[in-house]
Amino acid sequence: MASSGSINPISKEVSFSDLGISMTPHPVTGKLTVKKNAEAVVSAIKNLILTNRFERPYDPLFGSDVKNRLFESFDTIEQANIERDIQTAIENYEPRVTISDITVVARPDSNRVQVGLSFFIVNDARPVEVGLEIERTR
Amino acid sequence: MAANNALQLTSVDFDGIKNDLKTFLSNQTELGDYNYESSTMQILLNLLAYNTYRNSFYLNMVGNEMFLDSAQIRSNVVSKAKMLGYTPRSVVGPEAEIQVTISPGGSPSVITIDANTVFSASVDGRNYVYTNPKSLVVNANASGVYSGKLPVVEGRPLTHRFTVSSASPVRYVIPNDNVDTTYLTVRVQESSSNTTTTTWTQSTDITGLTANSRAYFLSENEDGRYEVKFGDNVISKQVNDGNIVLVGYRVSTGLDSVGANNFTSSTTMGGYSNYTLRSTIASTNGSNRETIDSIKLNAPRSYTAQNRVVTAADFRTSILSYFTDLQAVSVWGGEENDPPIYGKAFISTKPKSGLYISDNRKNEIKNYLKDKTILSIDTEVVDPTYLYIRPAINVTYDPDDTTSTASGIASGIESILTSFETNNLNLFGKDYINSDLAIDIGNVNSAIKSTRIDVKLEKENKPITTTSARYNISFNNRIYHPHKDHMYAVASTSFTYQGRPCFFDDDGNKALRIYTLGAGNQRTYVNKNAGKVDYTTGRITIDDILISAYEGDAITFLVDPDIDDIKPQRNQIILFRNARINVVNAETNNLEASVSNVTTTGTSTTTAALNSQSATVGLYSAVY
Repeated sequence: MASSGSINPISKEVSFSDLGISMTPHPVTGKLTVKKNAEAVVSAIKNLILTNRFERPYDPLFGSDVKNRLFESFDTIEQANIERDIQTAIENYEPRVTISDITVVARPDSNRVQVGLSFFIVNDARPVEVGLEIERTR
Repeated sequence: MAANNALQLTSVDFDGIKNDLKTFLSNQTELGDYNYESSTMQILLNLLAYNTYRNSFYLNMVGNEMFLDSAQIRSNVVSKAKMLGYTPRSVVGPEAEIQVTISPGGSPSVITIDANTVFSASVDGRNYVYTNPKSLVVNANASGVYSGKLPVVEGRPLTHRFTVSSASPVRYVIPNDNVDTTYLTVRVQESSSNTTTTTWTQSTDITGLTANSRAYFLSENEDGRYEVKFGDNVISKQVNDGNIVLVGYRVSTGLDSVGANNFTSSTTMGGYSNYTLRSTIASTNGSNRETIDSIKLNAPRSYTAQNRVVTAADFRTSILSYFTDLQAVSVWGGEENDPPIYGKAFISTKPKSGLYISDNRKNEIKNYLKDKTILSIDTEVVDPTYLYIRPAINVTYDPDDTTSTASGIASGIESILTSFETNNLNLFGKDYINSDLAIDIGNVNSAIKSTRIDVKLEKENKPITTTSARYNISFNNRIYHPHKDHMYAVASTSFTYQGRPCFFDDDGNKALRIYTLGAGNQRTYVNKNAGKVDYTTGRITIDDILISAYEGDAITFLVDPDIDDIKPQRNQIILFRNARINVVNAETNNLEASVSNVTTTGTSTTTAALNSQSATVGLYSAVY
């Protein structure tokens, strides 16, 4: 006979930790700030989207090429291309997330593209949303 | 037991280094995202791995370039060779000879053609400059014709001046990439006001140099240019402030103009403009600048020889590195000669173009070796001798297995014969292996069902037609002679003996005979003891007889070899000649294609005249 008593639900702690890309020290401790869980994954996705292909040595397919596409004339086809690039990059290089939505909105007057991402981190039911504004710098 | 948490960097490729870093991080507890390509940790890992990889690559390159065997950059190879006392060969301009016939319109006592008179020759539509390194004095002959043979060399002669100054020292680098150092001259003028000049000589070692020796050293510098260096008043004399160094040299195009024979000139010859030019020796010899591979090969061997020649390998290396027009050298001691001639070293050379070198070139080789050989060793330079294989090739083919015709198959076999001769024979020490040729022929077409090659050996002898002499014809391979009384192992082409056209054969018991052909090809023997045939050593000895004429360029001797694999000895080179190809239909047994006298290198070779060969033991053709 099974013993009676309450059993707490099993929760699997998903723990991701990473350094901030800006490498800024903590204002109080002076140590590098560490990003954890969703914050770390969001940071990684930003790295991925903002890297052009052929930019990383020995891994030429890493990146999304969005920055390169900012120099193209923007239309619905280009919009779809950017969405596809981002999706492919995340599927290939970020196994920690499942994408639920990608939106790309052009801001031609300010030479920008606004990217909206909605995704789930594996084993986490809470949706995460990220907004990025990508701007031509030259 | 504690885990080894130290960073291991044992890999040399990028991914390996990165994995080493990941392994290291996996043993740390602070950070965990090193496994995800898009994480910031990965950016740092990439940076570290890339930096480590670059460092290991550079270290590998530096390591490679430190050793002569693995260095790839010319300046490094040359630098390593320099430490072995080896100076790479420069480009060498080809040489030619022009017959200059001048019609002065008067009768001057002599006409002097100045050195460095410019001639022009065209090869493949490009013009090349030839000049004569030395002046030529032309005398009138008995008919009053002023004519002389003028040696010319390809390349423009140039002189460069350097002023010696300890305040602002200069390196005496010859400012040209294609310098032919063969004709390099270094003179030192006292000063700009004192034009007294002295000629300095090149030294390749410091043996015998004193503080007063006017010697210079030549080396290739880091830019691939030749640099002249002087002594320090301890080892050879030093140049002083105010001296002017005059470096004379030629700039050559190397092998590009080999074969030039259409010389013209727009200048006068000895001041006379009415002259004719005729090429007597087309442009030959010459070489391009020594390659990196060649330096790697020759430098250690040159060092081993220590500028002396003792072993056969020393001779070969030394001669080949100095005489750039030679393709191959064979060297053997007199004790290995047949017959042995003690106290001599025999050298045989094969030029890159042509079959034989001139007697002048032989003397140059002898003189070059004079100070390098050990005492009591005399050198003798002899021509190569050509041993010809006459292959009779019979193949059967199945016409159902191919779209080629019998003629097409025969043509393919012709090509194989030519390439086999070029690649497997035609040099000293290259054996003929019958089965190798059979395999190559079998691969010509898959329809070939069988290949049979019967070989005979040919050797030529060019006798003296004015006086009686003894001759040796050495095949150096056993002659087929299965039993006593097996006659006619030897055959020959026709020659004139005692006023009659005759031939050689043997009696089957080692006696060489001379016969004439009568009615019905009946052999009538004129001399039944004209010499000896040694079937074991493959040598035919002809006794003291006078052969007053012969058919063709030489008397050809023909024998059957005991085995079909033929080995050359000493200065022998094997070639194909008079090859015959028969292609038989395997279904009908009909001969469908036949080719005779296939054109090979051996077809066009000629035998050197005996009077240019050694006769040191009173026996012509002694060196074979």
